[in-house]
Amino acid sequence: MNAFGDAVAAEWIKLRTVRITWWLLAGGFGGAALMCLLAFSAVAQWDNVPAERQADSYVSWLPPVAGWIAALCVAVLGILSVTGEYGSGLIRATFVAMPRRRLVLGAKALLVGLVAAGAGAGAVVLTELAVNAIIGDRVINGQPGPAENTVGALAVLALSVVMCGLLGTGLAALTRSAVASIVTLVLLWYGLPIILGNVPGRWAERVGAVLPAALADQVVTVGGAQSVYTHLLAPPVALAVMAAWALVPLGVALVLVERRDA
Amino acid sequence: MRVPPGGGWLCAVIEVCELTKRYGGTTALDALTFTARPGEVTGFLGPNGAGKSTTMRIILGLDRPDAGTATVNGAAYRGLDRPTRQVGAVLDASAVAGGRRAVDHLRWQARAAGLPATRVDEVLADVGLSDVARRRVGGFSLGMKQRLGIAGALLGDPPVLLFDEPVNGLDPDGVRWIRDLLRGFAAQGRTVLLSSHLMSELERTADRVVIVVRGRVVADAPLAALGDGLSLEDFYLKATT
Repeated sequence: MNAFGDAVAAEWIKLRTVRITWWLLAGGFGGAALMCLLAFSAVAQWDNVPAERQADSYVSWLPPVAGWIAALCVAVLGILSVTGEYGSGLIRATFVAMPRRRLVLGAKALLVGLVAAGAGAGAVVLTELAVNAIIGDRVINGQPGPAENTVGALAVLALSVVMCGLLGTGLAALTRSAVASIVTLVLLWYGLPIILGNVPGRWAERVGAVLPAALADQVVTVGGAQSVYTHLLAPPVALAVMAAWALVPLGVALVLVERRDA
Repeated sequence: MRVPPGGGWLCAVIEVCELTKRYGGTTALDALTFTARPGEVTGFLGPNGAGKSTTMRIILGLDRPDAGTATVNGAAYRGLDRPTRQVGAVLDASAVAGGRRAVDHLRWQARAAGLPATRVDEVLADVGLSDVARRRVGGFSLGMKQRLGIAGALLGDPPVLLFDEPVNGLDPDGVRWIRDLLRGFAAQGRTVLLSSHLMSELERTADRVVIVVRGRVVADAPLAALGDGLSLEDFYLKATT
């Protein structure tokens, strides 16, 4: 097998032989279970209110929420797959065994991306199917109508989870610190949107529109969602910005990893 | 341990030439030069902060020197194909993921080198860890971690071996075991570079000592040539003052 194939195989053994990987995957899918509980609770309340008030009630489309939970879990997985080695010093054994460092980082990113795709698609599709089954034929505001095709939106949500996994991996390879990576990621994902949402003016909206968590919704909108994020980008532009968040930090890290002392 | 046909190991040398490394304003290595040859244990001796570990890291391609070269078998480490089959190294034995099982720690290394998984069982037996192979490394004593690190270095059956302070944390049995192991490697014609600050240990294990102080080689001689009834300790203290 070629050197990259060996690196991928070696990194796969590393990834699956630490428990945190499985805990984070459980967390990623746990989001889907949480959404089912939310749906049960919403349906129970909906059934107990008079028909005229049912028209005023609203339940968000839940797959994006499950996607956010999965995104956070795979981002942490990507971060730990890199910073865990720098923290323990294992990275030296890794680079002694595989001196072509770009192959190592590339292998890590590929595996995190594949795991993120599986976890992201799994979490949002499971949520969609389970929540639809729970809601049944009730017509609740905020939910996609029976004629609305959500496949494209689910695919974009899964892509958004992949973006987060790769962003985490890239930030971790740049900072080589779990704390710095997680703080940066949480700021980008949760902190800045909240801050910008409270700042008036066009520039705050423009910055808010390109933040990672705002992008999936700008590619495809489902159920007339009441998004807290701005909708300034055309779908292809939003997709391109998603790709940039996933690949730019990783690309810079791929250049730096060969230059820095390990 | 397999002995290779012919004299392929004769050119398996570590050559360090005019190596210079600065960290900010301090000079860690100052035109350091020495050679480790096949069939010998070369002891790399010096006080803490003398530059031993920095030199080891540069030889292994982990750090970049500001000037000079370090080669193994005539090539820079980062240019080696399948380095695990040419060079084995034990740096910091405690630098492992505590949650991973010993056997898995070796499996990824074997896989990275394109070696069959059967090598993992062989090296585990070589270092006496077969019984604890399925245990998580976090529960290992430092001595067991040293053995695990050595198992990793042996995976590719390499002609060149580097050990950074391998007897740290070992009990007397373990120290004796390492000494016999390293002497055995040299007797097979391998090149062994052993860094240590334990002079009595080097005196029993090394054929040749390179003494480094503040990034410079202050002595480079066969142990037998120290002569005049000087112990290594006397020689070291004379060389470093």
